[in-house]
Amino acid sequence: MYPFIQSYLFWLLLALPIFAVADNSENRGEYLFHLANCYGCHTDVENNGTPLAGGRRLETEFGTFITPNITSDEEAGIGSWTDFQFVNAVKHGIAPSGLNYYPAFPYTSYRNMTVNDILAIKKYLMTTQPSSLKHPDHELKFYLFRQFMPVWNWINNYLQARHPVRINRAAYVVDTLGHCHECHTPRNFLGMLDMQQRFQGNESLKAPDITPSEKGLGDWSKSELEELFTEGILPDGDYVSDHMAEVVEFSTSQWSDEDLQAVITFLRKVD
Amino acid sequence: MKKISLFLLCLLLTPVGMAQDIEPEDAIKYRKAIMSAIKGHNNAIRSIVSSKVPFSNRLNDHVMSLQQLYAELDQIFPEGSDFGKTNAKEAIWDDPDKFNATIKKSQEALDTFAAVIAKGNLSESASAAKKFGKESCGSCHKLYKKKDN
Ligand code: HEC
Ligand code: HEC
Ligand code: HEC
Repeated sequence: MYPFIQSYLFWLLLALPIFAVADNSENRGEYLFHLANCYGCHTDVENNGTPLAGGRRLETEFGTFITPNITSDEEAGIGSWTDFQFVNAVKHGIAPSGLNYYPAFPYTSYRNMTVNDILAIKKYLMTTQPSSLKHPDHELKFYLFRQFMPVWNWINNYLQARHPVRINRAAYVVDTLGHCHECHTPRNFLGMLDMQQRFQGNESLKAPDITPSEKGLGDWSKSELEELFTEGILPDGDYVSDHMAEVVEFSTSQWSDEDLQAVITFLRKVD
Repeated sequence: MKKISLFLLCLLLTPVGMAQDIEPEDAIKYRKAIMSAIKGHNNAIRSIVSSKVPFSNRLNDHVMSLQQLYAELDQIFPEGSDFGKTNAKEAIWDDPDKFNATIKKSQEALDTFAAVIAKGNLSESASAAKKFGKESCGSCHKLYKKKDN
């Protein structure tokens, strides 16, 4: 456990000077927050809930997760969290108590976020309205316990290590911040992403294949992809529905033009 | 006498073409046909305002057709048409007030769009078309439509 924590501290310290330089743009945290779509999961959007106050029910095959409050409230939210605790949660899925989060919180994607970016998001969250809302526990299948998560994480890390992280701005927007794999890549029976079938679609979530192949985005033009990500319209004139409609509204429609173009080129490229 | 007039009043207040008379399968097919028609006019409008085709003299007709179809939105989701070959979500019937409010907002978004189109400026209409799609089609599908089975 000790070298583990030490290494986080190391990253944190390493990152701080860069953070001070890079954070001169005021809206950077807010922009990253949109790209990572923290809003959708942590807001009860279906019932016009208070922004970021949680309470959204996420139904999965492992049961229903009820998202926590991440407003700046000191009691119910993350107002009293240290930077270290926040980075540890978003990047490694570890709570201040030391217990592990379930990967319904997509830290498995966020772990490649830079510490600077995570702290910029925290800074933005601290400017939001506090809410004192608290929520009941998750309603999960009887066999799920947080105590199992270290083993799950260990196996997952082992499997993912065979698939190198793609490094460029578009990959950062898609794989890390946008966590597109969480829906568009199929999972094994333990609920881990099967990166060998990267972006080939997830039946149970009705998320289609978005590889550049025939079955995926092969016949989509550049402007059709632009219209999907900015307006939510599909090539035939239908509009995307539930999950993806939220991703479009809260995240992809907020992409800068530069990021939009980079992502489109990236998605259309066979690799 | 009083009883009879009450009965007559009830009869008068009963909507024509009551939902109960329709087979659910037919209600769903009809609903999808209306949605496809909506899509058709919306696509036509989008092609014209983005100057891909020169039929700007047809613009008003498409907008009017869309308005007529939109006026029907509150009737194409009858009770009992929530199962089978449909992508409509249960939430429509779980909370009808909220659904009706969404319909109303969609209709208002269309009125706003129609007002911009009436001004006759194509590029202004093109950006209004995007806004309309997001606020009307997009926000209703977000809450009430699921992906194909
Ligand atoms: C796909 C849905 C989803 C997204 C997207 C998401 N979260 Fe979460 N988040 C969750 C769930 C579910 C939990 C609870 C996990 C648990 O209890 O094990 C959680 C927990 C948290 C916690 C711990 C709160 C506590 O009280 O312990 C923090 C902090 C957090 N999320 C921040 C974020 C931030 C910041 C983002 C965006 C970068 C984000 N989340 C995006 C679903 C999500
Ligand atoms: C919460 C789950 C979820 C996330 C996260 C998600 N998607 Fe989707 N996506 C879906 C679903 C479901 C659909 C089908 C929506 C529909 O057609 O109504 C979809 C549709 C799409 C389509 C259209 C594909 C087609 O053939 O119709 C593209 C392209 C796409 N998503 C790209 C992305 C990208 C890029 C990201 C990351 C920024 C992303 N998605 C994140 C669930 C998700
Ligand atoms: C008030 C809500 C609402 C509005 C507004 C709305 N839709 Fe829909 N739409 C739905 C629902 C719900 C379904 C699913 C119907 C079903 O499967 O029974 C649907 C289905 C569709 C379909 C699929 C039809 C089929 O054959 O399966 C298309 C295409 C479509 N809508 C296009 C549009 C377009 C384009 C607009 C805007 C111009 C729009 N819709 C506005 C709720 C709405």
